[in-house]
Amino acid sequence: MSKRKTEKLFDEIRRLADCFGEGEEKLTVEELHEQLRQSGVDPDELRARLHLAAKQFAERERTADRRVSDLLNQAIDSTRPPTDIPRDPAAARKAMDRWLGWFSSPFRMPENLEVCRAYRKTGEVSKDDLDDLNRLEQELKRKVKEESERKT
Amino acid sequence: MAEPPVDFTEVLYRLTLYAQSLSSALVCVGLREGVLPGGEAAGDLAMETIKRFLDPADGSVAWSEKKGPPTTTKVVAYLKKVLYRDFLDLKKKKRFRTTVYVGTHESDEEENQEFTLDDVAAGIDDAEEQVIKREQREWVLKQFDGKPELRELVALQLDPEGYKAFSNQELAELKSTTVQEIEKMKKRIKRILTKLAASGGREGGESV
Repeated sequence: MSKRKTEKLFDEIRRLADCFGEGEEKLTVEELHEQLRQSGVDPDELRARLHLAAKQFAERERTADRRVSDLLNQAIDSTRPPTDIPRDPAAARKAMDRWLGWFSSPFRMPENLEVCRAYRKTGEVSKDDLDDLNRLEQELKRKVKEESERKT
Repeated sequence: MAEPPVDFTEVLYRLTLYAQSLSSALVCVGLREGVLPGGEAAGDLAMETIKRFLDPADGSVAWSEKKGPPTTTKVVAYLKKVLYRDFLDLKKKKRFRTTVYVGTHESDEEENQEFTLDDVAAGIDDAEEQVIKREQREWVLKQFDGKPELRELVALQLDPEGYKAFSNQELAELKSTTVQEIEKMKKRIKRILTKLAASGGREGGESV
C-alpha cells in the first residue's frame, strides 16, 4: 500500500477542513453556540455532559484522596450551568458575561434584513430557497395568529 | 501575571465545529460511511477528546509543561491535533462507500462494495485517481443543485486539478463580494455537507 497516497488523502481532508473552518477562530462563544445550534447540535446539552464528566473525574480523585488538578477545576467551573456561579472570580466574571450574552443574543437583528427582502422580491432566489422562505413566512404568520388569538 | 483559566465550554464548541469540518471534508473527498455514524457525531468526538485530556487516569492526552501554562487558545490548538488523529483512526477502521464509481455498474454486489480509507488511498493509480476525483467533484456539486451561489463556491474549492485552499479573502476577491458573505456561504455549505456526512450520504448519495 502506498503510504504517500494515504498521506496525500489525509492531507486533503485536513486542508479542506481548515478551509471550511476559516473565520471560525474569531467567533465569540455566543456565536459558536449559535452556529452549533443552527447545525442541529444542542450546545447546552454538550456542555452539561462535559460538566458532569468533569465532576465525576474530580469526585473520583477526591475519593482516592488525590489532588484535583487545576485544569479539571477549570473545566468544572467553565462548564457550569449559566445560573451556577463558579468560585474563581475570573471564571465567575466570564460566566456572567456569557449568561448576559445568551440573554441578549436571540434579539439580535440580521444586519442585512432589507437586502434579504429585496433579494427575494427580485425573483432570483432559487426554488429551494424560495420554498424555505415561503415556509418560514407561513410559520411566522401562524405564530402571530396564535399569539393574537391567545391574547384576545 | 497568571493566565486566565481555560474556558472548556469554548474548547468544546470549537472542537465540535472542527469535527464537523472534518466530516464535511470527508464527503468532499468522495467518501460516505457505509454504516450510520451512531455515537460518533461531531459533538461526541469532541467530548471524548476533552474527556481523555481531563481524565487523570488516562495519560494518553496530557498537557506538557514544555508548552507553557495552558490557555484556551493553546488547548484548542493542541486538542485539534489530537481530534484530527482520532478522527482518522476512527475512520480508518470504518467501512465506506465511495460516492462515485468509475465505469459501468455490472452488479449490485459491485455497487455495494465498501472500502476503508487506506483502500481508497491505495487502490487507485494516478490516471484513475484523476477520473475518480472529477466524478467525486461532480457528485459533491450535484448536492448543491438549486443553490447556484453555493455551488459556484464549492466548485472553486474543488478544482479537478487538485483541491484548492483559497482563503476567504481570495474567494471574496474572485466573487467580487465581501469576506463576511463568503463566511456566511461557507457556513451554509458546511451545514449541508455535515448533514450529508451524518446521513451517510443517503439524501443525495446516488452513484454517478
